Amino acid sequence: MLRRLGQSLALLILLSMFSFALVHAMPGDFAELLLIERMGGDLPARDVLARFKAEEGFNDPIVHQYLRWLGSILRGEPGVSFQSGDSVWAEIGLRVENTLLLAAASIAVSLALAVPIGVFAAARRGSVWDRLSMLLAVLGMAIPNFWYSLIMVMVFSLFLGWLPVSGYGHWTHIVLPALVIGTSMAGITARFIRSCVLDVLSRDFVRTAHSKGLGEIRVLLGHALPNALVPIVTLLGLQIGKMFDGVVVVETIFAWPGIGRLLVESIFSRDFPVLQLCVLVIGAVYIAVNLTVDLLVMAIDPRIRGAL
Amino acid sequence: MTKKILHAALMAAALAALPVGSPPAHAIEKPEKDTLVVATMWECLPFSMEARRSRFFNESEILDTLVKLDYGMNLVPGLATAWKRQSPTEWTFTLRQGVTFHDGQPLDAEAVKFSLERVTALLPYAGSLLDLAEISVTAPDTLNIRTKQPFAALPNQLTDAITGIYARSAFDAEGKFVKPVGTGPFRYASYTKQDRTVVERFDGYWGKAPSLKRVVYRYVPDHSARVLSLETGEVDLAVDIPPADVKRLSAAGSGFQVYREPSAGLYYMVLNTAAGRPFADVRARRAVNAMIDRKAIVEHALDGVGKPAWQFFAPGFDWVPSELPAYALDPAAATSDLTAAGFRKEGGAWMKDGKPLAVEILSYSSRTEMPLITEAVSGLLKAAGLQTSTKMFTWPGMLSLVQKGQYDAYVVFWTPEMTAHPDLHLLPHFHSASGLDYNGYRNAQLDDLLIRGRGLDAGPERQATYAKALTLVHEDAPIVPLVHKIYAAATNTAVKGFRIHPSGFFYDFKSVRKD
Repeated sequence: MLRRLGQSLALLILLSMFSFALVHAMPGDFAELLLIERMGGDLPARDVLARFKAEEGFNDPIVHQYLRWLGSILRGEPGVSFQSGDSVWAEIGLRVENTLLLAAASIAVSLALAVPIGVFAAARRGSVWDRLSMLLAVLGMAIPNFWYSLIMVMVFSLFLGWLPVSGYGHWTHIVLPALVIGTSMAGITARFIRSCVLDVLSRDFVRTAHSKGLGEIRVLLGHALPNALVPIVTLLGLQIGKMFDGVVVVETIFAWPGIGRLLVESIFSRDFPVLQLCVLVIGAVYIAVNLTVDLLVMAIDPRIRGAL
Repeated sequence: MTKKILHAALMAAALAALPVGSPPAHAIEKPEKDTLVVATMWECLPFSMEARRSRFFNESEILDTLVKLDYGMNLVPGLATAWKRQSPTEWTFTLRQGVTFHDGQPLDAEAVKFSLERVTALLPYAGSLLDLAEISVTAPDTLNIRTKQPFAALPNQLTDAITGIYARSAFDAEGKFVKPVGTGPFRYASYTKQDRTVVERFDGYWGKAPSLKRVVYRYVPDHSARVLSLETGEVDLAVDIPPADVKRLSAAGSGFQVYREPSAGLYYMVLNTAAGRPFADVRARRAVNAMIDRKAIVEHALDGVGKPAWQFFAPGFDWVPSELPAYALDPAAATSDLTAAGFRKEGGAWMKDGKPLAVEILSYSSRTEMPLITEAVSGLLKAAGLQTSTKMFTWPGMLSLVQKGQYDAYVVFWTPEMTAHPDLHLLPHFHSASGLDYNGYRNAQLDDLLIRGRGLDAGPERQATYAKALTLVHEDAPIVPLVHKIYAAATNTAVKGFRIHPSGFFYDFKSVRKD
């Protein structure tokens, strides 16, 4: 357990080095770009640039620069965004908050569909439920999100007039993006739950439960599902990770201020202070989610505790 | 039996996850009658006065400039009611009486001096735009501006958004920018990050009070979603709409009004004239100018939203000298130019010394039309027998290569007509000493004409000088003009009085009302 925490911390430090180095390895002179931004888009003269580099410490060894950057983040003042002029923490805080909201809503939608369909598809192989789970999985993979999003907007905003097209801040804004992401994830999740439950259903303890005379629903929900939970929780962890960088298209269409879109925007606009911290935060989220998944798995399955 | 109940229960659970219940009828927020909601492609940021960003303060009229442009691109009084050139390097501006800032402070010459000096200190670009030497106050309502060189274009440059006049309270004690406080008909009200920026009517405005009480600028980055928001009634006006939707919304009975007007802006390709590059030879430069069918680019790459550009300035601005030479699609002329330059066409490809005429075209993808235009140019040149390839960057990424001269050609967008004076773009782009295009182009005769032109008052001599200068640019062909911008926007039919301003950087919502 302690070792697992230590690993995460080490990984986090490596990650911070990586996100710092990444920006410095990108084409273009970082100091020059910074100065261009400060001068309002003006191209600095050679001597001005040289003076700026010396004053701001860009000629220092890269290790010093890295430590200074790390220090500024730990002090909570990693600079301001080139684009908005606002503090980088303010930019990223808003995005993390909204990404978490959207992740929670999307995964709730996904699970509400996937658990019943998946469990029943396993219990009734080849039934309507089984085929439904297959259909959902294929549609979820085959339909591009930008198209699906616009169709949902046309149905729920334009024709029915129930929900706003885009924005954030009111609960109605989250419904459409959460539905789009949730339903497109549901099929895969249902298929996954199905195969996990199917695997468990052939075990001896399930047969024992049946022969004890337990009803089907108690066998499925009380015995089969909990034993199938470990891989399912792992999959959920991956899906939460995906919410941080894999739903940019949906975020853009619904103007949802998620962190994935911030990452892409900061790359396009060369907003380095934001980009560096974005990479760090997204990486940190992956590490945190993995750690949480491991801890949850330990809580679910006592057999794994020793293994970690 | 239990099976059936179970089946039904699970089916119900699955269905409950779908949105079968009807949300409240007022889930879609409809704008109030005296509020105009605008969907924009860029976020309108109130806390950044960086050059590209602070244009919003002028567009939304939080700030006023000293001089303004009317719909004919003529200079009209802004915060200055009159201006006079006292000597070649000295201008006097008489300020409007009875103007107050949004913070209640009166506008006087000291306040204007403070603002202009603050802006040039924070944005050095503004200082060179105005060629500023010194600002002095000669009377409470009179301002004297001295320029480094004889500069007739000063009133025009003072229409540029970045010269808008800020109140002292727009800056903190250290002189850093805090928020926009100006004299315009609308005052900054609130900002929700990534969502909206709100301005409200300023009742102490010096001009005719706007009929709108509030304008909400909503940030809707997706082009299709911007149009859909207009169609659901969430917004009243959508700007920068995709060409395909322009056609659809223009149809009779759509319930929407589409606006399409030419506005300042030129997409063009810069040719690297440095020795050793394919375009070092002027004949090769003229040849590509004759090879590219601009009409095809507009029709096929831009769905008709644009105007073919055969010259640097768009026609129709009366300050642009008339009867300038223009390029034309002329494959025969291109062939004779390239042949004269020593190229020979072998198997459909232009060759010289056994090597093909290979051109790598750079551009940047952050502006939506750029990849479309660049690919079209590359395709047209390929069809004409050149070996072309394209590379897409971000703007600064491309710029870093361009500044080092590591390119054959690149495609850019600038707004040459923005201040209604030829100097704004001719001098920085084509003068040997400034060379903002970084293409190594030099012409001493042109340099003289450009310096002389900016010192001349409007009149036949200025017309003749710039006509000569533009003719030289045409003959030397350091660039390939491609497309003049057409600005597209759409409103619902309740919105009355909206017009697209030809400068491309001004909404003029004070004359807009909603029925």
